[in-house]
Amino acid sequence: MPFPRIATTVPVTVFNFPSFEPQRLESWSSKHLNLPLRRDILHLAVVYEGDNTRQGTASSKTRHEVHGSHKKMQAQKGLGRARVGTKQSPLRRGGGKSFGPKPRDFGTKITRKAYDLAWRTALSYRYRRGELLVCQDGMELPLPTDFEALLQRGGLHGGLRENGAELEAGFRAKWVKQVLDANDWGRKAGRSTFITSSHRENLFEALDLVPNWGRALDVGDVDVKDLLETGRIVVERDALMHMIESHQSDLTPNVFVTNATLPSKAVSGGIIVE
Amino acid sequence: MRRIPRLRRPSGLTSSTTKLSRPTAGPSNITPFSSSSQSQSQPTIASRSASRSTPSSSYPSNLSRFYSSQQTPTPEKATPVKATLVQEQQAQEPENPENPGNPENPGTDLQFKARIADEIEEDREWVDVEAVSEGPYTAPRPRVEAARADEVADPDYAPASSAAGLRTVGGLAGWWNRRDNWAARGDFVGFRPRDKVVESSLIEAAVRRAVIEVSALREIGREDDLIGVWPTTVSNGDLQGLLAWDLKRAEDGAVVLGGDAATVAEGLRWRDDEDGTDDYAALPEALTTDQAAALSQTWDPSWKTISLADHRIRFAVTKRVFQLTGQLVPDHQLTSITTVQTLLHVLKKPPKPATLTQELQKRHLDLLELPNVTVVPKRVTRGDKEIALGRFKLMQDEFKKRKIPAYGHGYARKGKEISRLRGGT
Amino acid sequence: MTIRALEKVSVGQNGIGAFILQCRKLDVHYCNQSGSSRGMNSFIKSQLSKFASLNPQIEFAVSPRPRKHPVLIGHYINGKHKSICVKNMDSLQILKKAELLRDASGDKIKRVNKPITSINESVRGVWSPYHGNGMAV
Repeated sequence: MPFPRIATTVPVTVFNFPSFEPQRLESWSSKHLNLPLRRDILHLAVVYEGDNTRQGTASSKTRHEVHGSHKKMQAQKGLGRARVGTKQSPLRRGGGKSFGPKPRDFGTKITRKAYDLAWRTALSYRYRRGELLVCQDGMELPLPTDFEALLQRGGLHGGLRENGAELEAGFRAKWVKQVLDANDWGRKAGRSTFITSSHRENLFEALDLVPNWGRALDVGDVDVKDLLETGRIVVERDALMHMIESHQSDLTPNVFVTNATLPSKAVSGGIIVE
Repeated sequence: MRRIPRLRRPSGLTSSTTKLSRPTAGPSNITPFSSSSQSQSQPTIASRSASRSTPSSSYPSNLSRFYSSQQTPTPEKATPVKATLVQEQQAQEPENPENPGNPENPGTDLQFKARIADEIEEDREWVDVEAVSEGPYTAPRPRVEAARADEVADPDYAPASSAAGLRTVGGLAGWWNRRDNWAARGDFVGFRPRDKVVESSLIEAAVRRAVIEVSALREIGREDDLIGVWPTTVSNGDLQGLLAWDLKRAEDGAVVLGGDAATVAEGLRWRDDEDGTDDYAALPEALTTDQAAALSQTWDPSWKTISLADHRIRFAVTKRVFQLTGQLVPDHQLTSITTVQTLLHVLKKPPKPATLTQELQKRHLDLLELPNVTVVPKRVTRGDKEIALGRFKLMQDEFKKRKIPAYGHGYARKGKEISRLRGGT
Repeated sequence: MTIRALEKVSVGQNGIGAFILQCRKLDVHYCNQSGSSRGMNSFIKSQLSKFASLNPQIEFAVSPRPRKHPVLIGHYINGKHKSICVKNMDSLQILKKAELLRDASGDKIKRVNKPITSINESVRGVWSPYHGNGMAV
């Protein structure tokens, strides 16, 4: 009886940014973008990231660190009152904290393969829900030529104007809101995260102005938690390839395999329709 | 005068195509990124704002209104209201130059607030500085330094001691939200239409149109264009004629078009029309649900078995459907789409209800109809009880008498003192 | 034993002539997003209509309470209310909590130390030395 065939590749449409026009169809490995949902692995990765993000700077003074003399406040016996020692006792007002927080490192560890699996599981989860949109390389927000001409003419900053920066920011904000709302990527649709392989001036600046519409991240700043927040991920193809390639340690063996008949590592990015 | 291209392309069209062999339009066809305007279904601003409010946004009748805040106008509806308000005031202004400003207390009157925020009087007799505009965008006039009171040439000039009778000059807040400063043609135009098409008959019509066009191109042999972007403007009559073609699937799986493939293929080319008689206002009407339903009766059912297994065909069809309806087929469902029937099934499936209220309205009407059950779509806030009991009307009258804002903080905005304490302005 | 006429005015007790359910209103608050409200959402969809139709004396108000745990609040005739947070509960467990609220009165929960609660005096009477057959010494 033949085995039921399970697809080894999944199709990924690459869109043009910002017009959202489908440009081509690529095939990516299902070991990269179609992993089964493992909530426990995602949980491990998110908790690990959260732990390592902790600042850990909460501090308090113990009785030994609270300022003051260490004289015995009153005689041990004979007063009829409870016995007291120093005034920094944790029982007293103004005294030290018995077991208060101290600055420490809350970081935990996770195996690299588990973390990489979690990364690709997050991407797979988004892919299967249709919330992973891949755009072409060089994903930058184009501004209207008329606006750029206006800037060059000094229309916004010229004269005795002090608030030219506000006007410019207002324009960028409105423009990026229009772009996002036209594609259903904005506030009403649950915000989007844009991931690019390097810093993009216009896109990052504009999205900083409208945090309720979306946010932009460099691929080096992305976490598993970031991949699971907001309504969708709009990622540059380059950035997605970089993410996949740097998080597939559980797929690539460290040994050199000479037998060609063994299944090779997962291949992604092949073009089906150009 | 620059010749205005007739067909509107989505913004960014030129950057979408990578192959040189594509039939590139000449430089006159390529509109600059921004100045292409909205595609077919919203020719004017008024119709855009009207078409944005879908039937589902009106307050449903079987949901309770008491203990919930009243329906507030959505931002899309608010801007045309504001625009007309400003226009009315600007119309009133020249008639009433002696308007000493709002005699009522600022802060309670919304009209007054709108006037303060929106009135930048650009009276051409007042200052002769040219407006700085580039295409659809207009920047504020550059500032001009006024002469000092003792240096003014006019001997009758005396500086004002109060604001009575002066033109009010506001800030530049909301500058780009005014239609004068950001024309409609400056809006962003994407690949997909603004509003998603959700009617199943219209979706079916769009799929049929896409299948016909793709098959026509395939017949002609213009394979490269399968990946390109096609224009969407076609008249209603032509569209109906196109949809009425007898599209069939032959025994061997080949597609039998009921009409001339060459004309269809020509229609899919981007073209720059020479005649200036056609302007932006002459946009074709969209297909209505009734027309689509009527047409669907005439179709041969075998068209639904047309195979979409070929990657290029499927890509072209789904791309065209996305362009026409705004419905995108998610990537992971692409492999399961082998025929037109499966594509229709995927597209017609309504999205999961976002809130519990929507789901109750759809599937659990028995709960809503119980006489002792009240379902409220929005959070019950502290003022809702007063409003429901009718006390709030009285409270509002008393507030007015005492010149206190009924909603919010009015002119005394929250947190001013705190920022000053922290070193702010 | 003496036979004494019972000098009593009839006291109304809830349930003797008529029964008035003490719970007059039940607020049902849910959240669309939070995970702790999933059981409550399924309770509203599946169990609430039957429960509400079985208890027509109670007014049910279903409203969202975003970014908060789901809660059932019962309002009683004596003006008091009782709230039960039903976070992370199954819909049948929530039904049990709703029944608990329905069956309660608004009074504070009192500790019951005696086995019997009654407004009547004891049936057999309190012992008196002057009545009865006397005691043999």
